[in-house]
Amino acid sequence: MPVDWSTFWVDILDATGDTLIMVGVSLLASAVIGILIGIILVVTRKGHILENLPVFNVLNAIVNVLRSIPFIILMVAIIPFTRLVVGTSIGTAAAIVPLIVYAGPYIARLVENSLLEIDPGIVEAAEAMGATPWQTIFRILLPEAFSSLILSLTTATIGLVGASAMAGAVGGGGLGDLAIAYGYQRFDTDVMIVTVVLLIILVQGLQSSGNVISRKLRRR
Amino acid sequence: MIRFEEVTKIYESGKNQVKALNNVSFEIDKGEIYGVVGYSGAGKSSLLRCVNLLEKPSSGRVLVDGENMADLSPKELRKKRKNIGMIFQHFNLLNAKTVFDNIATPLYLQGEKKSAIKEKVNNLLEFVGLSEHGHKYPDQLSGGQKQRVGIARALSTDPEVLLCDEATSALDPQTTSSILELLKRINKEYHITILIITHEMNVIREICSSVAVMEKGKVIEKGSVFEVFSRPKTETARRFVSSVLQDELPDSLKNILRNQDKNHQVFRIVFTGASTGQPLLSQIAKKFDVDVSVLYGHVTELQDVPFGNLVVQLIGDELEIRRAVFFAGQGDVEVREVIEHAS
Repeated sequence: MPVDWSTFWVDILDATGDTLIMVGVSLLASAVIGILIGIILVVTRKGHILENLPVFNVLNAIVNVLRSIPFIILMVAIIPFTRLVVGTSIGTAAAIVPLIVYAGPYIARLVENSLLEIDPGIVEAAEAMGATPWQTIFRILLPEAFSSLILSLTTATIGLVGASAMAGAVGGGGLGDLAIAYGYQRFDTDVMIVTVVLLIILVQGLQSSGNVISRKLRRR
Repeated sequence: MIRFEEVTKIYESGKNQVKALNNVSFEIDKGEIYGVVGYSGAGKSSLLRCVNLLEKPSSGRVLVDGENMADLSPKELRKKRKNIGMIFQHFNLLNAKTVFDNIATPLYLQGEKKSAIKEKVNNLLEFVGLSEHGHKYPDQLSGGQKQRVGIARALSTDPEVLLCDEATSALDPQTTSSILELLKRINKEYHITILIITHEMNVIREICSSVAVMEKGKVIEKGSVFEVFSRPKTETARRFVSSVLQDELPDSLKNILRNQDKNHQVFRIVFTGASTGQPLLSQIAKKFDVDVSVLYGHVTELQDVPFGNLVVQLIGDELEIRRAVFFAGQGDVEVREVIEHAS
């Protein structure tokens, strides 16, 4: 039986809101974690300003392990942890925890790459100026990589939109949940199309704004 | 001002050891412009980086103003580095910051007041001739302009020493000259000791007072620029000198050399200082019964002293030629016979 569109729009609206909340909150948290780890991965590597190979190797391994686990498995595997953090393993809040665990290491890698793109000569110049490691990171490296970081975060956000749709599979709510519950399991093609179109619009909008902001910051 | 004492730097990569610096000792006086020249891989870059401890010597000491850099605590080292400006081959400017902010960065980092920074940076912009460009970004500037920004940035903390890492190697000859002029002015007006490393001998000729020639991690020759240019002792130094003085004989002369005999002899006459202005050749021709034919030569300036290098053929009686050579060899003039394979 197809859905009644006069009332179903409300569900769609709710689901869109859930997706935005899931992506927004997990992006915020995973960006903080990811940027932090990304910075540490750069400055502790060999020859860099705070070289510390044990720290680098351990973090590097953790990031690799977490990045190799498919999201759908990760989501199930960390249910005990999720329950510990938010008290439940079902619903939007419960989906946010695995999203953070998934996106954090991903963002860390992207940030690492952005920072490594900076000419090592600039770091050398900062050292020659007598900059502290802290100043080198926050006054030199991050501002230099800013526009590239925005693009990285855009990529990560879109990754999160995709992953959040998968969270629907375990009752995480959001547009993905709707697409699976109505479109896939109940063969309601209309719902499927509407949700997918909404996701496309969301991703397009994110990518375009990311590009615009990044270009503005690059000031060419 | 800067003193290298038996400085050795070894890089280890796996089993291999590379000695970038091998027991280097020399001293740079205050207010001097000192040049270190060498081919790539000679160790110049490591040497320069040992001064502000971007690289740590494996053994030996580098003293700047009497202080051993390696003995300083991290905090003292950062303070000391503000006293040692550095400019780079590829400028290493912050691309996301304006010219003004690039120059101001070292001042921001040491927490200067905004108003003081503004005044200082504007003065520096004027000094390096970029007053109109403060609001631009580095990618809107030419190479020469970028290096001027680099120089202004290095000067912002009022250093006593300026390290130049191949500072003109990425620039065209004309821009190179203007940057060298600027460095000269910095040396004169601010009395800043300048250490330059380069593979371009003409940089040394144009602004340095002393020079060290490096090869395979060692300083193989050093002295005043005049000494090294007029009498290079090692093969490498000779090659560097001839790269700018063009005192290698062209092939067309080799035939003449092959055909010289007792009555046609070829000599190289090296004039230095006041002797360069003397009408030596016409005197020879008048006083002795020889003909003088100039085959090759040029006159240049080293450290504001004229320096001439002529290859001439003396034609005449053997004895007369010998007397003429003896006459010419008095004073500041050096006369050497040129034979094939040993020009």
